[in-house]
This record gives sequence, C-alpha cells and structure tokens, in this order.
Amino acid sequence: MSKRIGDARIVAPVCSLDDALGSIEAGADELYCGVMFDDWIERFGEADLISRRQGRYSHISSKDELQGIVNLTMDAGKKIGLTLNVQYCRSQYNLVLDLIRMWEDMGGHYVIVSDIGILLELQGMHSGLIKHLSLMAGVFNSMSVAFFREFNISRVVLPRDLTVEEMKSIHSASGDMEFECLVINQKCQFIDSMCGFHHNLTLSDDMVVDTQYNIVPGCVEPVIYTHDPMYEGHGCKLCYETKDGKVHHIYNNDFLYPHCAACLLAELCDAGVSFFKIAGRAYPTDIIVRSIRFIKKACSILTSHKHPPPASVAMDIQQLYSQTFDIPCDNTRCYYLMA
Amino acid sequence: MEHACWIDYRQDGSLPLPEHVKRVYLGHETCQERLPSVDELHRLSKTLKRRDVSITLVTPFLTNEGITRVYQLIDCLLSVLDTVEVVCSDWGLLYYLIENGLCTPIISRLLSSQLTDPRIIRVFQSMQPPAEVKKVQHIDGAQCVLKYTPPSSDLVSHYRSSWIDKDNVIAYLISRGIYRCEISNVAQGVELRTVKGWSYSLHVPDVLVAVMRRCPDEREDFNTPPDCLSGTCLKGIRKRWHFPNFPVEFFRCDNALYYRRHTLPENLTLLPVNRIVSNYKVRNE
Repeated sequence: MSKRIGDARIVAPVCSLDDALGSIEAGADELYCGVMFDDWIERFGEADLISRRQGRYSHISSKDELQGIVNLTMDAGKKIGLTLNVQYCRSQYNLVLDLIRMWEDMGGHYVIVSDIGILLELQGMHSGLIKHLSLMAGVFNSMSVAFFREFNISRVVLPRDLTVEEMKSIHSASGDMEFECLVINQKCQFIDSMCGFHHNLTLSDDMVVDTQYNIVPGCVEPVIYTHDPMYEGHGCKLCYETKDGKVHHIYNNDFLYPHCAACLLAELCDAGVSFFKIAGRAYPTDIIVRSIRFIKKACSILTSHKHPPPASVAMDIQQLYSQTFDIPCDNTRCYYLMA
Repeated sequence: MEHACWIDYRQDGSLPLPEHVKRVYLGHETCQERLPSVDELHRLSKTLKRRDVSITLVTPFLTNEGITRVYQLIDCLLSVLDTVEVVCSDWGLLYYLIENGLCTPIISRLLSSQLTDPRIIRVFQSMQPPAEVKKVQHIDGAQCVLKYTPPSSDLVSHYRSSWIDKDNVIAYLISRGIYRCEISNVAQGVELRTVKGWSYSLHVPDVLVAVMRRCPDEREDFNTPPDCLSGTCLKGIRKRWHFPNFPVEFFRCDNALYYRRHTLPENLTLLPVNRIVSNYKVRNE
C-alpha cells in the first residue's frame, strides 16, 4: 500500500456558495477562489487582470457571498485560498492590497500569488496569511524554490509543463516546501507564466452569455459594452493558417475531454507532490464535483495496492475516467510526461 | 543610446556587425535545448573579445538539468571575459547570480511579462463600426448588440506598463544588484517611469507573445509526441501563423510565438530605455 498517496489532499475551485457546498460534500480538502467586484470591473474590465481567469462568472463578485463561503469552509474544518496570481501594475496595487486585507479580516487562510511586489508588501504588513506561490511564477527548478523561500512561501504550485521526473528533482532539493500540481481539467499548449495573450470575455453569436447588459435610449436592442467587440477568443483557442494553406487548431476541447493525471498520482506523490489541484474555475459545479470524486476514487484505488501498483491499476483508473466523463481515456490527454 | 544585436551562436563570430553595435546577444530565450555548447561559446567569446564586442548571454526558463548547463556556460564566459551580462528568464538563475555575485544579471522579457497580444491596440481605438454589428444572445433571452467602450486611463496604463515598474519591486531588485530589464516593442505602446539607477532594453522588431514547453512537429501538429531531440529542432524552425482578423501576422520560431513591429515608440526619448536590441538577425531569414 502506498502510504503517501493516502496523505495527499485535493484542492478544488469554487465560484459560488453552491460550488463550495458541492466541493466539500464531494471530498475536497481545500478550496480556492478569486474575487472580481464592481469597483475593479469599472476600472479594469472583466479580462484576466485580477487573477488568471476572465469574467465575473469565474470569480465571486459579492463580499457577502465571499464571507458565506469562508464561513462554510471554516465550519467544515477546511481551508480556503484567495487567488491573486497575476502580476499587477501600479494603478492596481492598492486595490489588490485592500483585497488582501479584507480577505484576512474575513478569515481566509491563504493567498495564491506570483507578484514579488505583493510578496514584499505581505512581509511589510506582517500578514498572518499563508502564502502559496502560483504556477504563474514559473518555478521550473529548485533554485527558484530557494529564491521564493526568502518571501516565506510555504507551498509552490508547479507548472503544468514539467515532467514527473523534473518535479522529483525539484522536490529532492527543496527541503520541507509543500508542492501542489494540477491533476485534472484544462491544459494549454502555452506555458501559463509565459503567455502574453489577452484573456477577455468571449462574446460570440454561437453562445448564450450572462454578461450584464444596458438599456440605452435610442438603441432598439439592449447593449453590452466591451473594450473589444471584435475579440475572437483566447490565443490558444483560435484556428490559425500556415503558409501551405492548412488550418490548425492549438486548443483541444478540454471541457468535454479533460486532461488528466490520475494514472500518475502515485508517481506524483513519490515526486513530492502532496496537493492535487482541480483546475477549472467557472466550470459548472457538476463537472467540478465529478472531477473531485474521480480523483478521490483514483486515490483510493491506488492506496488499496502495494506500491508501485501493478499495470492493471492504471487500466482500472482509465476505465474510471471513461465512466466518469463518458469518453474513452486517450493518451493525448495525459497531463504530465514521466520524463 | 546603446545599440546591441542578436547573433546566431552557430556563426563563427566573424560576421560583420553594424558599426554602432558594440554588444551582441546570444543564447536562446525560450528553450534550454537550444543553448550553445561550452565549446561553441568558448570559441565565439574569444573571437568576439578580439573584436572588442561585449557579450550578453540570453537564457530561457530552466529545469534543474538546464540550470546546471547554464552554470557551465557562465563559467566558460568568465574564463574568457572580465564582465558578462546574463539575461535571466528564470528566477532560480537570477538568484544564483545575485547570491554568488557573478556576472551582471538582467530581467528578461519572459520575467517582465508584458501583455503582448497585438489585439490590445483595438482596446485603445474607438473602432469603426464593424460591417456587421455583432449580436449575442443573453441567458434571459434578450438579443444584445456589442458596443465599444473606451478603457479607463488606469487600464491603458496597465496595458502599456510592466508589473516590474513598481517602487518596491525596483527598489528590491536594485538592492539585489539588478539594474536592467528587457522589454518588447509592443503594439500598444510603452509607458514606464524613470527611476534612478534602473533602465530598460527595448527589443525590436520581434515581440515575444507566448512560449510552449515543446515545439509542435513540422506539420504544426500538437497531437504528436514531442521529440526535442529531432533534427528539426536544430534548424531553427520559423513558420508563419495567420490568425484571421488579427492586426498583425504571427510567426512561430522554435517553441515561441512572435509578431514583428519595426516602429519605435513615439515617446522613446521620454522612456528609461537606454539600449535598443535588434533581434531581427537571429531568425534565420
């Protein structure tokens, strides 16, 4: 029996009280969320400038709901983190620092950050919040871990682009640092911390939107105001054409065909990863709940076998993936390579 | 204003440089597999030293294996040259250099993390109404039209700036012996404050937009297993990617996407930029 996999914890995204209830019931050990309030939207719009997610719907947009989620999480004996994982310019700085103070006052447990300026401020304000380093910081080696340790980081979320062997190598030289990695949903071809694409709200005629609209005198139809009415979608989701006239698509439909690391959970534990993160803020609650249950079941399958598990265990997990997501397991959807 | 240019490290170092160029950038910005070998770097650095040309070694993000190789490259350069600049795209390498007092560390374009999507210029311009008004259906059944609203001055400032340009960040970096940061000549323009002791290098014309861990294959297929040791890797692949309606053309060079912009910022003389780095030559054109 693998001892360490039994100790691994599941970290799940929440965007509403319903998400929080569902995730806790499904067995999440920790929660994370983002916030996007009206005062932010008025100045900076709904692009991914407050966390690496666009849109009000990917965030909690009322302080009351946020407090409710924090209270629920505390009552359940769990922890919750606030995602402030992008890097901020001067004009955003005070708003972000105010959010951090509010989060601490509400009883939030930790913040997920990548901006050195924010880390310096957290040190200066003697915040009691625990600090997790986002994958947006791009920690690809153990010397980077040593650098961020100077800012009292207690956990590093590893980039989606590392191999399991590389994670192991980082962990083995990083002492008591905690490590977390994504294990299901959403994986982009571009490295999170090295993508300069603009992630705005995609408002296209083939989808139904819930963006706030306005009734404007003189306009027959309601109006949705946006900084870029022509916005086509994220750079990674677009089709592009090469010189030979061929049209290519970078993105795969992760919504219906989630990337997955369930077969590798034991190896990830061996590599020093103790926290398995579910990606997908703004995904429907039922997908998040299914993802948590799936990873939890995969962990129990692995704990019930001696380590290393026999090959048949991977097949059991692949079958579980097919049953859970109603599609066959496909090795092009593997989250990580071993080496 | 200092002028520098990228060179391909596989050249022998004797290629002609523009008369005003006294510094070359070499290495690789996005892939550790494409860094020079110690032998290549040793040969090249000796040739460039004879020509009285300074060297800036450009490094990508690095795994534990990659960072060890870069330590060797730095040792090699220091065995030939008195001073060496190293552009760091990796916090770990930066930390190693500042802790050991080696070389002159510089924050790279990957760490300065400008938003480089060329579509941002559309946010700045009051658009002419598109030929067809874009309509979307709201969840409550209403048919809505999309209309442009101009960005706030704070948003404009955000898109033109970098997160580095904050008092406490620059003060921290200077306190650790870092005095320079690299930036791209982004289409939306650049806004940066002047801070004593801190300066920027502006890379022209290729703007770095996004980086992948591995390249797609020669057919641009992302669904084939990555093979970093394939012959195509060393050729320096450059492929045009055309996104309909984008205001510029993209190209993929190795594992990164770029667009090209030759026009320098109108406010260049007001910016704390004291070096222009031409990155045109390195792309095998």
